[in-house]
Amino acid sequence: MQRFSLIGLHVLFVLAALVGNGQASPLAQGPVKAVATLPDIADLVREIGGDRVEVKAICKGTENVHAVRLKPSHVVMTSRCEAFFQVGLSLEHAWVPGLIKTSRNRKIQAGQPGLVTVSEGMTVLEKPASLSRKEGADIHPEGNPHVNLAHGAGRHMAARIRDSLVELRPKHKAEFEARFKAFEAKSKAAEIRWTKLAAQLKDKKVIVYHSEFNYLLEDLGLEVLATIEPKPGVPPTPGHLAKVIQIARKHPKAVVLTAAWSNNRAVDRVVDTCECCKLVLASMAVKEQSWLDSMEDIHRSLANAFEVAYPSDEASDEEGAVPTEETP
Amino acid sequence: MKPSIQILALATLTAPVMAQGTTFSTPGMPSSGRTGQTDRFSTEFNPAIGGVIDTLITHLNSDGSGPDGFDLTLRSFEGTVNTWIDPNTWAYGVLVGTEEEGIAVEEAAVIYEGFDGNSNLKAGRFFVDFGKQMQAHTHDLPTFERPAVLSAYLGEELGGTGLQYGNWFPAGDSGAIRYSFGLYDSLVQGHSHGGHGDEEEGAAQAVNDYQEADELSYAARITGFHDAGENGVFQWGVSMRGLPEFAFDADLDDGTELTAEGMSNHVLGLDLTYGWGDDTGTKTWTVGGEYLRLSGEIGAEVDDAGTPGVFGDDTLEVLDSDRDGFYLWVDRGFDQNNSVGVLYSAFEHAEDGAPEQSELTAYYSRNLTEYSRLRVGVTMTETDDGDDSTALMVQFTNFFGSHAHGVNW
Repeated sequence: MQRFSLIGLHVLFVLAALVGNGQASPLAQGPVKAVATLPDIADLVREIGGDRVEVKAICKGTENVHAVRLKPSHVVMTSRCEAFFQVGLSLEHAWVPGLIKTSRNRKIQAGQPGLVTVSEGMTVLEKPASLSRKEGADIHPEGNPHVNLAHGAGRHMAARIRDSLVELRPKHKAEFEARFKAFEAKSKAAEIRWTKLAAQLKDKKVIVYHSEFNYLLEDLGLEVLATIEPKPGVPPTPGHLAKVIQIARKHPKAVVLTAAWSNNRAVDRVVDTCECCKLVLASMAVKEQSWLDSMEDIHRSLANAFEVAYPSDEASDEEGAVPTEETP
Repeated sequence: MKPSIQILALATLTAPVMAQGTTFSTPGMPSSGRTGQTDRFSTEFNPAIGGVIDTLITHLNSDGSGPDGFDLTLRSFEGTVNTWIDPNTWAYGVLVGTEEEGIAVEEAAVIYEGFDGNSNLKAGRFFVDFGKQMQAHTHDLPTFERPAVLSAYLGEELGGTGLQYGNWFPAGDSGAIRYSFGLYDSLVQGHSHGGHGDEEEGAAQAVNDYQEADELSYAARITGFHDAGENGVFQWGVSMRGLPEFAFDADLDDGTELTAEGMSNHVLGLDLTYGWGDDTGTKTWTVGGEYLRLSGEIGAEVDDAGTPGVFGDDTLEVLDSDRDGFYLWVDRGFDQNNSVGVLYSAFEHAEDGAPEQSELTAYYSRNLTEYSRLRVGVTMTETDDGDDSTALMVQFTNFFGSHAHGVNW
């Protein structure tokens, strides 16, 4: 009986292997089948690639990007893609390396042109001077990885995407270049609006739960009074919360910024004991939303929270500092 | 040794070994890397190192003849290394020290992934691919201990030294099927720390040091994963563990040893798991269960049918039968740091009369950070023989450095 079981299992597995090996490989010169970690990046891949790409995002946009719950469809799409776009800087470190390893897709392994890190070349904030968990649980060796919220991030990420698509489909280089130029113009116009908003937000203050908005706050010149997490990735203790509440009471016009996935009971404890208002901000685009629309929503939310008028398109066209070619 | 194996062994021994560690050596001395990029004292290519300290405080209250009181235990100190050996091969090792058993190599395996497609070959000592919870080390389990039915039918740990082939393939756009098959030196219970045979006093399962191919233990698993809506994942699995040839030894009080040889049995497992998370991924539900059937020659008992008190005429009666058991588990994650859960397990013992045992565990887990977990809970055990007990437990588990095992999906 035992031997029959053994033979039966062998036959089953050989059949399964034959079915598995019958999967078709991606067409070499059709649209680039791509996977992006964030909806922001997926949008930019569509902006630059147009009909030359078919891209799917893994994140929905509402979750903690450090701890995404992967589904079987993510493994399958990653195993079949020709290009995989990630932010990098260890933002997706908890799940991307394992996903890529499990996918066994040789085109997107480290060092291959199919694995694209769109943050490459960006100026990074908060690079730790020393690597020790004493400084926090969420310590990113390469610096704060939430670069997708920087004002110039769209142009930088789009340029990286353009370069990688040109490498994968050189004959469509002119098309990718033209699409990049068009996006660059749209982004610069938006950045002028955001710069004008920054002028109106001068001297405004915020309290944050985690450090995911620091690039945005840096670009807007908003002062961070306190962080509800005592150290990155460490839930607040009662003693630390008491200190944050004291600070919040001294600055009733400050806005408390948090994300949907944060420990918002702790945030509510701060907000409930002072006159500050709470603002739940997205830390990336949501589902099919574009990067530009997502950034617009974030800036409008901040304008509303601080009760300032949001700059109009006309204001952008008039004067205002035109963003330089420098990326964050 | 068969000729083909001799040729393979000879080829392996005569092949140049390009290990790291350049140094001065004379011809004929142990080979050192002729193209080595590191020397004896460099650290650039060292493996990722990690550790786990798992402590447990238990207060046990037994109704029968069992023990009562507190037990404070360093359950384990685990050291792990993970590394790529070359672009196609990676390896990991797990050393575990416990207060009761000292230091043991729980896992040390090499995984080759250089084939086309998604297949791999794993060799060495490792936890066998069976069901959802048998692959995990105790500190990674959602509860304090492994579900009672798994411990009873497969052992506290199901580690084996052998070779396992694994593969996976897509099932449509939103699913995947994975399977594995492995042959092992031995998968008898209590074989988790390298020795042959159970350490339990009085009775032991054992296998021969050298076995024919059809006497080797085997394990196999096939499992499918499928998206279940926007936020859910459903998984099913079928697993099997077989012992085609083993002996059952019993030591009598006068030193007489009785042995039943040529025994065989297998365990079949069916598992279903559903996981759901809200849009933020922090509020979660996990519901799962596993059914096991132990079949064949599942044990042996000393028959004292001769003259009572005289050991010389005792015989070992083999029990050839089936036994069933299962566990069900529900876990609710409230946010990134807090979760509660309940696990219920019931099974028939592999003894004459099939006495039943059930176990209910309820727990609360608090992740102080990503690397530190505090868990409190209670386990109530009921048995047909009246040895009921209630255990209150506090578990404090801390992870440092990199932490990973060879766990499959």
